[in-house]
Amino acid sequence: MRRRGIDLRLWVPLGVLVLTIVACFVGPMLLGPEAGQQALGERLAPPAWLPGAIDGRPLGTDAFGRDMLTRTLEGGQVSLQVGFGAATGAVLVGMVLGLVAGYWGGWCDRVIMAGADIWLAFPFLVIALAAVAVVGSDIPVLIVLLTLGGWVLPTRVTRTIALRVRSEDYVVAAAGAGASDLYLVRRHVLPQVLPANLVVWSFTVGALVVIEGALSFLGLGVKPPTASWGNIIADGTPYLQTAWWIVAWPALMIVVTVICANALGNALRGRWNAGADVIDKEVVP
Amino acid sequence: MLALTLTACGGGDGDADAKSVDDASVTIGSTAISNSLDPAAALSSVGRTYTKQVFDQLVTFDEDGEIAASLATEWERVDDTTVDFTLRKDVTFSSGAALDAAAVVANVERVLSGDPAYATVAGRIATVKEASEVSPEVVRVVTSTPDAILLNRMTLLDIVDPATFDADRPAGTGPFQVTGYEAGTSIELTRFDDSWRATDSVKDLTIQAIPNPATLSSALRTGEVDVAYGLPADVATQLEGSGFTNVHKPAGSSAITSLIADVEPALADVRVREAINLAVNREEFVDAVLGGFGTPNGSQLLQKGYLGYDDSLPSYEFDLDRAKSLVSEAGVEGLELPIATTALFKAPAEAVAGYLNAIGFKSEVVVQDLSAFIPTLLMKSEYPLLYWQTDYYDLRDITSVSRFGPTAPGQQAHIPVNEYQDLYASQSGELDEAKREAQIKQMAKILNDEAGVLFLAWTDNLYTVAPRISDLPLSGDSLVRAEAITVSE
Repeated sequence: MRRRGIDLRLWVPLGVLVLTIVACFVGPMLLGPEAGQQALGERLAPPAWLPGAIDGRPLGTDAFGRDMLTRTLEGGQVSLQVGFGAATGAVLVGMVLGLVAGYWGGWCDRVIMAGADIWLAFPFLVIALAAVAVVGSDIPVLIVLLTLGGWVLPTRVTRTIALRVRSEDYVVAAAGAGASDLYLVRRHVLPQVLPANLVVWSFTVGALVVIEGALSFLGLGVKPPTASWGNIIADGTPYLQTAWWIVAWPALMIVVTVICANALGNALRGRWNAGADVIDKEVVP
Repeated sequence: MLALTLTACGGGDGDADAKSVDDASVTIGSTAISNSLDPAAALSSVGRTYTKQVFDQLVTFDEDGEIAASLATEWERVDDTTVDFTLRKDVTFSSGAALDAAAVVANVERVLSGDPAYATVAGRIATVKEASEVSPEVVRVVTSTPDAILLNRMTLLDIVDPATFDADRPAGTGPFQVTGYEAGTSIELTRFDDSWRATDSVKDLTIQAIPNPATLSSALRTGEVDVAYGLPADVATQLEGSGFTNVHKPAGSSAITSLIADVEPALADVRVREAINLAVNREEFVDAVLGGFGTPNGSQLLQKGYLGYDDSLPSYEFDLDRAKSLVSEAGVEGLELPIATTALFKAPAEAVAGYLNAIGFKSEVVVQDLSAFIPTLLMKSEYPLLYWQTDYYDLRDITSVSRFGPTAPGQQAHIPVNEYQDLYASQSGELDEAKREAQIKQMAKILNDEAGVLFLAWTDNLYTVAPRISDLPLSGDSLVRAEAITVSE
C-alpha cells in the first residue's frame, strides 16, 4: 500500500508507535504531578462523556481516584521500557550467539543450539515467577528477565542466515584471499543479519509487551502504586461491571502497541527481503 | 429503617413478611475453609466457622461479647489460679457418649501434650497448667500464674469426645455433625438433633471453599451459596445493588500499619511518626477502601466495648499541611518507606502508600505470600512499614495481640517502648479488673503519645447474604451461628 511513494504499511504503525512513546513519556509531565495522585473522594468516576464524570479526568478515574489518562500513560512508560528494552537486549544477545553458532559452527553451534532447545522446553512464566520472587521486580530486573525470555528467536534467525552467508561463493573467495573472520562477519554477514533482526526485534517488542502485561497482571511486575498496563488491568478487574474504563484504556494501549509492532515487522520484512524466508520459517506472528 | 436495624443486629434484610422455613439447607461460601476436622488443629477465623457449628466450649461469648454459659453453666474462682466449672447436665456428643468432667480433662491434656499440631490452641491457653475432675459434673482448671482472662481463653477450647480424638470425624456437642469432607474444599454438615443447641431452622449446612472472590461473588449470584465470607468490600457493595445484604459487625479488628524503626532509623523520630499519622484521611479511607465496613480510628488498638478502651484519647486527624511541615522539619523528604503486606490487603496498603507519597515520602507496596509475610511480621522485617489487620475478637482482649507484647530473642519488636512492655507484661496477671483496665488504658496512651503505630480503622467482619436468608446471627466473636439462621420461603 503505497501512496505517492510513501509506504503506509511502514509509516502508519511506526508513526503510531512513536506517538505512543512520546505520549507516554511526555504526556504525564504536561498533565502535571497532581493528576496521577490518589484522590479517594474522586474514585471510579466515569469518562468525560458519561454522566457523573469529573472535570479534568477525561478517561475517568480508578479505584483510588487517580486520573486514568495519566495512569495509562505512566503505565506505558513501564510497559514500553520493558518491552523495547528487553526486545533490544534479546536481539543483541541473539545476534551475538547466532553469529557465533552460525559462522564459526562446530561445538559452539552445538552448545548454543542445544541451549536454545533446552531453554524453550522450560515454562518461561514459571521461571519468571521464581526469579521475581528471589530478585524482586524492578524495571531493570524485568528487562533482564524478558531478555532471557526472548533471545532464542533472534539467535536462530541469525544462525540460519550466518550459516547460509558463510557458504556463499564470494565469502569463500574472500576468505581464501586472506580476509579475517571478523572482517567477513562485519562486511558480509552483518549486513544481511541486521535487517532480519530489525524485523525480529519489531515482532519481539509486541510479544514482550504482552508478556510484561501478563507478569504485571499476575502481580510479578513493578510494585504498586507504580503503574504498568498489566497491573492497571489487574487492579481494574474487580470493577469490570461498574467501572470498565479502568481495564479498557491500558488494554487498548496494549492492543494498539502490539498490532503496530507486528505491522511494522511485516512492513520491514517486505521492504528488506533479506532473511525473509528464514523469518517466515521461525516467526509465525 | 427495617433494613438498617437488621443489619446493625447482624441480620439479613430479606423480606421481613416472608414466612421462615424449617429444615432448610444453607451453604456458606468462604475464600478458605478449615484444612482439618480436628478443632484442636483448626484454630483460625476460617477454621472456627466450622468448629463453631460442631463443637462447644466451656464458656462462650454472647452477641454482645460478654462471657456466657455454654457447656459450663456455672464457674467459681477458688483462688487466684484455680477455677471450677460446673457442667451442663444431659449433654451428649454426636457419637452418643455423655459429656462429663473426664472428657473435658482429656481435652485439656491433649492440647497441652506438646504435640505441635495443637500449638496454636496451646498458645491461646498457655497459662493453663492442668485440669482435673472434681466430680463427674465439676472440672477444675488450674493456671500457672493468676490469669485475668482465663474464661476468655476457655472460649477457644473446643470439647471433643475423647473416644473420637483420632477418628476421621471427631464428635462434638454442637448442633451439627460432619457427614462429608473434602480436605480444603468442602465440609458437609447435618443437624445433630440431640444437641442441646439444636433448632429446627437449618438441617443441612455446607461450608464451601471458593478462593477466588470473583467466583465467590458469582456463586452468590447464581444461588450456589447463600452466605459469602471474604468478599472484597467493593464487590460486596456492588452486590447490595442486586438484592443481597451485607451483614457486618465491628468484631474486634484493627487495620494498622506497624512502623519498624530498627529497619528505618528515621522512624525513631517522633515527628516522622506523627507526620505518617497525620497524612491519612481515615474517614475517606474507610468509605473508599473498606467500603464503609469499618470505623475510622486514629487513637488506639482496642475498640469500644473492650476492657481498656479509652474514649478520651485523641485521634490523629488528617492534616496535610502539618504532616508536610513535620516531614520538612525532620528533613526526611523523599524518604523511601516501602509497605509490606499480603495480597489480601494490597488495596488498603496502596491507599496508605498514596497518602504517604502525598506528604513527600516515596512509598510503594511489596505484596508478599502469606508464608513470607508471617516471618516478616513475627520474626524479622526487612521493610519499615507493615500493613496488616490484627484481630482480637477471638480472646476479646488485648492479650490476643501478642505481637505487641514482649519479644523473644530474634523476634521482631513492634512497640520498642519499655514502659509499654512492662505494662503489657503485668496486666495479664492483674485480677483486679479496675486496675487492669487502668493499665491497658495507660498502654494505649503511651502508644498514642508516641504515635508508635499507624492506626487506620476498626474493621468490620463482613458477610454477604442472599435474599432468602432473613437473619444471619453472629456470635460475640463474630462467627456465624448457623443453627439460628432464619431462611425465608
